[in-house]
Amino acid sequence: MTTKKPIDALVETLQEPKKKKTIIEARNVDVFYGAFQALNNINLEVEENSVTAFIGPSGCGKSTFLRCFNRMNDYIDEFSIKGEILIDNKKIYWKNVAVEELRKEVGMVFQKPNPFPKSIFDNVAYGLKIQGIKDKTFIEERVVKSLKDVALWDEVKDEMKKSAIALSGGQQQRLCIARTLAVEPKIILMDEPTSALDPISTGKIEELMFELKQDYTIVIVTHNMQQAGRISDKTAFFYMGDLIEFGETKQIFTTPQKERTQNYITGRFG
Amino acid sequence: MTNAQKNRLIDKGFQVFGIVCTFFGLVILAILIYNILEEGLTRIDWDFMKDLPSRRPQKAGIYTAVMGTVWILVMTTLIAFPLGVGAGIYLEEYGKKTKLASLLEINIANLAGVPSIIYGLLGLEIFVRIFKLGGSLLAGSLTLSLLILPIIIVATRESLKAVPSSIKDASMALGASKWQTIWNQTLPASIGGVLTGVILAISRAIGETAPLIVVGALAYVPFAPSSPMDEFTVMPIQIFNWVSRPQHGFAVNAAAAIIVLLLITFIMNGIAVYFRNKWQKKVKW
Repeated sequence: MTTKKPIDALVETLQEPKKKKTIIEARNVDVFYGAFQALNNINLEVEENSVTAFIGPSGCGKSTFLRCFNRMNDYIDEFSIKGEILIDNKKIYWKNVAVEELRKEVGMVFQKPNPFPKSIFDNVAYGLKIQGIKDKTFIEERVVKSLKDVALWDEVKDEMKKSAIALSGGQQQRLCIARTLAVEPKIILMDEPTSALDPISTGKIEELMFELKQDYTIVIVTHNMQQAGRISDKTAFFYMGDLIEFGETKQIFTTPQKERTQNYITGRFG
Repeated sequence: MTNAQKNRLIDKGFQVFGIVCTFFGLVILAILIYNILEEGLTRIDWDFMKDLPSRRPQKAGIYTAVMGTVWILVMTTLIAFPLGVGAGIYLEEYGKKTKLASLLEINIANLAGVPSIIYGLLGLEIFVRIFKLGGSLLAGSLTLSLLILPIIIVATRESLKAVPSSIKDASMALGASKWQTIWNQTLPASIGGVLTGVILAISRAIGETAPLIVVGALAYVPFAPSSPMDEFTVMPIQIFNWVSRPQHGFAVNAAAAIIVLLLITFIMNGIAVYFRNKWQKKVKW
C-alpha cells in the first residue's frame, strides 16, 4: 500500500466534508389540472451543483413537477398548485415574485430542440437582449463563451450569421443549451433533452452535463434508465403523481427500497 | 361491366366534372375581361386619369374617383391594421379561454358574414349622425374599417396560431415577458400571414360600393379630396354612375375605369401572394 502524499490528503479533506447546499426545496406540493390531481404531496430537496434525474412512466407527473420550478405551467388553463417550492430559500409561487426574474435564474432545455428561426448568434444573444443589455462586446463575449461551454464553438464559429434551423438536431440542442447558459442561470431544467437525438449527439450532451454541474445545478427528466444511471447523482422515481422513492442514484439502481421502483428499473413495467 | 371498370368510369367522370368546376369561374371572368378590354382599353390615356368628371363623356376623367379611392385605401389601412392586428393578438395570446372569449369568437366569425349594406347603415348612424362626421372620407374609412376588421382579426389569429408553441416556450423560459415573446418571436414568424390577410381585406374594401353610398359618398365630386373631412367619391361609385347613364360614351368610360380598378386589385393581390410565398419559404420548422 502506498502512502498518500500530504497534498492529496489535503485535497481529500477539502472535498469530502463540504456538505452541499440545498438549492431547490419542494414542500407538500400538490398540483391540479382542474379537478384532476397530477401530483400528490411531493417533498424533495435538490442540492447545488448536482444532477438530479426524475424517472417514471409517461403521465406520472415528472415533467409537470419539473415545470413547476420555472413556473412554465402558469400558462396552462386550470393549473393550480398547493404547497411551497423554494429556490435559494425564496418562495417562487409567492404572488410578488416576478416570473421573468425567476426564469433568468432557472433555465430550461426542452425535449425537442427548439431554436428560434434566427441566426446562431441571435439565438444565443436573445436572453441578454430581452434583458435590455446593449453592450455589444459584452454580448459577443458571452455568446462565444456559452458556445464554447457547450463545445459548439469550433463547429459554428465561421457561420454565426447562418440560420440555426440549418444545424443538425444534436447541434441545435447544444445551441439551445448555450442559449440557456448565456443568461447565467443557477439551475438548468432539462425535459428529456436527448429523446429526439441520435446516440452520438446524446453522448455529447451527457458529457456536457457532467461538465456543467461544476457551475450549475441540473434537474433532468428522462425516460432512459441507463442515462439516469450514467449522469445523475440522485434519482427520483415518480408513479401516478406520487414520489415513490428518492435517493442516491447508485442506491436506487442497486438496492431500491420499494418494490415499484425495483419493477420499473428492471423493466418489468412502464 | 366489372367493378373495376365501373370505378374507373366514375373516376374519369369526376375528373371531367372537376375540370368543368375549375374553369367555370375562370372562363366567365375571361369573357368579362375580354369585353371590357375591347371596349375600354382605347379610352385609357393620361387625360382620362387626370381629368375631373364632366357631363361630356369624352372630357370626363377618373381623377377624383382615383384620389378618393387612394385616400380611402390609406385611411382604412391606418385604422383597420392596428385595430385588427391588436384584437387578433389579444384574442389569441392574452385572452383566457372563457365563455366570454368563445362568445366573442363566434361573433367575430359571424361579423365577417354580415352584408356590407348593414355596415353602411351602422356607419351612417354612428359616424355620420352621432359623431357628426358627415359624408366625409373619415366616416367612409371608419365604416369600411368596421367591415374588414373581422377578416383581419381572423387572419391574424390563424397566422399566430401557426407559430409552434415550442418557440414561445423557449422565449418565455429565457425570461422574456409575454409581449417580448410576441414582438420578437411570434409576430416575426407570422407576419407573412398577417400581412396577406390585411392586404386581401383591404383589396376587398376598395371594391366596396354599398356601404359608401349609404354613408354619403357622392357620385359627382368636382374636386379631389385634400383632407379627411372632405366629401369624396370612389371608383366603384363612379363606375356605377357611368354605367347607369344612357350615352354610349359613358359606357366606354365605365369599361376603362373598370380596367383601372381591376389593375389596382390585381396588384394588391399580387403583393399579398408575393409576401405569402416569400415568408412561407423562409420559415421552416
